Amino acid sequence: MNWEVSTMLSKRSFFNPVLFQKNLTRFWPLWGGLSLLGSLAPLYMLLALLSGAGRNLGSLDFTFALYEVTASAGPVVFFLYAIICAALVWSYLYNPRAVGLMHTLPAGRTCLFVTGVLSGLTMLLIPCAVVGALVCLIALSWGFFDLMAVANTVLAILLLALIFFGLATFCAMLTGHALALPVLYGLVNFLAPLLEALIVSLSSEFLIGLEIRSSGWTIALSPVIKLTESLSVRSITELEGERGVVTGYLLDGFGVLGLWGLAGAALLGLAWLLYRLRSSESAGDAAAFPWLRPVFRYGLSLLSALTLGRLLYELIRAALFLSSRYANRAVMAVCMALAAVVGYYIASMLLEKSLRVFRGSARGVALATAAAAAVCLLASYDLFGAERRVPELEEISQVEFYDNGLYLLCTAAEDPELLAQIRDLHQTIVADRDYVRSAADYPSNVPGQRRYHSLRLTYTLRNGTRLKRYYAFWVLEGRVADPSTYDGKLAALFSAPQVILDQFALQEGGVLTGMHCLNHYEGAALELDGEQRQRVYEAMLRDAREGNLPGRSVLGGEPEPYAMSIELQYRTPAQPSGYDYGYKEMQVYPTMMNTLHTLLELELVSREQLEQWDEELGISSVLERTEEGC
Amino acid sequence: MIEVKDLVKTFDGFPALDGANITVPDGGVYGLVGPNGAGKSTVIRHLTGIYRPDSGQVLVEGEGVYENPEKKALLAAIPDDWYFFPSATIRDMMRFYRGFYPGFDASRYEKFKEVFSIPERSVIRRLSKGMQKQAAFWLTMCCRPKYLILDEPVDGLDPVMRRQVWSLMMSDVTEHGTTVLVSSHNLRELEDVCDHVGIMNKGRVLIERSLSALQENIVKLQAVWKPGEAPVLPRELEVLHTSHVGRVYTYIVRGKAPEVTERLERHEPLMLEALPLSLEEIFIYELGGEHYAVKEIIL
Repeated sequence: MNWEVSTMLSKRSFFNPVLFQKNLTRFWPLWGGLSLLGSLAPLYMLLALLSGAGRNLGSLDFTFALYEVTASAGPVVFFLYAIICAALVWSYLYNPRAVGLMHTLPAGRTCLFVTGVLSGLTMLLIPCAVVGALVCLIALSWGFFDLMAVANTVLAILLLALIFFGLATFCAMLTGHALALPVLYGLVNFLAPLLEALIVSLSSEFLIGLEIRSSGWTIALSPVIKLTESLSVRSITELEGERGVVTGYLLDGFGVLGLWGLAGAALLGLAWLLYRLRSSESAGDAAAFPWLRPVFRYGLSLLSALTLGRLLYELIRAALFLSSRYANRAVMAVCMALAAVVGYYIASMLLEKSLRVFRGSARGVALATAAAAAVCLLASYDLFGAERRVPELEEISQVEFYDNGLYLLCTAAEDPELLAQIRDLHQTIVADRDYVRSAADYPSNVPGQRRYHSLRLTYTLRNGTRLKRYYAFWVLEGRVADPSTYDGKLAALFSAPQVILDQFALQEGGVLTGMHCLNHYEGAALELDGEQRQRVYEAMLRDAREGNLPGRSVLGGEPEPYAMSIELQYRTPAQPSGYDYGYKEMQVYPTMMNTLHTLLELELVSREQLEQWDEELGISSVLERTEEGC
Repeated sequence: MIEVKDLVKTFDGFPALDGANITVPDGGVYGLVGPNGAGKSTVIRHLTGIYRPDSGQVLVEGEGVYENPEKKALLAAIPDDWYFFPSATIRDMMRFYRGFYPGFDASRYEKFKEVFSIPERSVIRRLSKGMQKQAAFWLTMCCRPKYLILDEPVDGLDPVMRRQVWSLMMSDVTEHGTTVLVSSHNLRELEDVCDHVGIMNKGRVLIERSLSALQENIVKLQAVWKPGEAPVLPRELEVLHTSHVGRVYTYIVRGKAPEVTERLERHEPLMLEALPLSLEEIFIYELGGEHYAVKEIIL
């Protein structure tokens, strides 16, 4: 008896080397091809180094490259490659003949499972190992090897492999059909955010303010999205004079990676239990377990109601010329119920592998229909108060406001008044929700000016959660005059001095690092020195304080600026991670007397130029006004 | 010994096995026969550990075979649809089997190269159905199983190869005490090799006996009666089938030949002769009582 056989005949045997070897040799074109393809990267690196193009590369570049590839490509590559490996390793479960051979062999299910998992993980990791080894060899030869970066990358890759192969194996055990596996895997990966988006999207057909974006907790249940979001490279910057210098890199996201790694291990454990329970005769069936059949049937029915039902409603809305942005509850319920029936029968056909699924289906169809209609009704009534929810002032840590090009970030500590003003606007919109719904269509019969607004509010609450709201409505001239309406409150917010100041003013502790005077007429950009930039900035601040800067109008029609703007470059106050740099651009308006006077004094703009622009804009000479003003 | 006790298996509510009982004694050839859909292949899939019983037991040497690698190592099977890896050669599959079966006999594999004249480096997928079957026999018999389980084993083999394969199996039975369980529709062939027979229908084993006992317990009688005097046979005789051509009557009667002959002779036939029944005839007449008779269909 050879050693492989003697080690596996026991009931407690966990591994079969012959099967392991067979799995690897059967599927070598996959991992071999990928290794070869991946080796092009180190080859490119080597050629660059040999030609001298990469002679300035150092260990920082090596670390950055390793982390960047792991963070940006890792989750997606492993998400795709893991399902291919799992589909190949477990392919025998989907073929009655193959499963017959494998389960006749004198090896327990545990042994087959463990061997399959190790084979799959090996296939998954071989290309990484080959590429990694080549890169490390090159780095060692050129002296920019970083052991810590390699260790971190290896750990991240091992965890990614465990996560995605664990999930793929778990899915592989739930189905008996080769084509169902990738569909199920894809669905499981995106199910939570997809369902949330579908349900919120359905609710937003009836309720105002809901934003059709997946929230944090559903994203957290989608490994590929969560890991793509979480894994990132952070630079460690230190200040040298006025410039930030990168002194190192960190791979962020190990916390999420670790949690999902545990989930991957748990899924493998569950998959092992399922493998022990699954019947060989499930090969070829869409659902490998009887208890999965109703889940599949009603799950597909619900998905059909939420997608096909919505599509059907849109068709009916177009056909019946229902113009309102908000949906008719009864028509939507009927459409969703019809789509649920379609989904129910499609699921039944896939499960039974037959088109004859209609007999005896009345009870199931009735249940699916009722469930779809119930979902529609539940989504249409604000049962959980999502539409009415406006956070209390004490709850809010900060709010981001974005509407028609105006962006504001207000914190409770620094801008309590503006924050309260934004919250009050939100409260008014919510209180007027019935009006918002009824006035959603173009107000063709209302006199005066009007403008469509898309308002997005993102609250960060003190408990760390975020609340996002999105409102789309028409602002009417007739209502702007009334300060109690949301139109009036929005207009007041647009013209608030602090909002005007925010367009260019630096936050406390920020440092002006550069300034350019951009002449769009001549296409010239003049760089200002330290004293010049300080004088211009102070003049702009004076203009803001004296009300010389035009406010934005909620109805549009802002005054024309000169063909000139001031670009400010700045550094934010010190953060724990270092400094952030940014820039702002402020248009120069004829009303900005102090700024114009300073620009003239500094000879950054000529009198002739201003006279020409005034003539073009058809306004009185600014030169006279500047002299008067000064 | 292989024992199947009260085995029940249902597929989506359909009872494929409905309390089947089988006892396969060691060192013999057991023929499992039955009509299509009787449950033979399902029994075999339980015996090889593929299926888990809904209830009942499948025992090899007293231990359950499902999830029992030690007992499964004693078994080797050739299903009617033998699986091989898509790009595998016979040699590849040999290495695979060798890695699993403790008794794999490499020297036998070499010797069989002459018996099965197929190049061992041929990709199995490209071989004809008959050659694939030969490859299955080649590899399975090299595993030196104590229990060989075959489902329609010689389907696709030419007559010479059939004889060759049966001869190899019978020599394993006589020389090594191998127990063979074979399911087949070719009753003529089974009759030559089986010493025990189990007849299945509708998921149950109707009869299970040694072939000789089976043949002793049912008799075919041909009788010629005087013109117009065909008698009504006594009620205590269990007549399974009656037919006649002219004055020659044929009776299939359950019972021992001497006793049945003696009873009929009392009616003074002109001629009476007891004939042995073939396995095929036993199969047909036994299942006739189970409403599985050949139907006289006129098109």
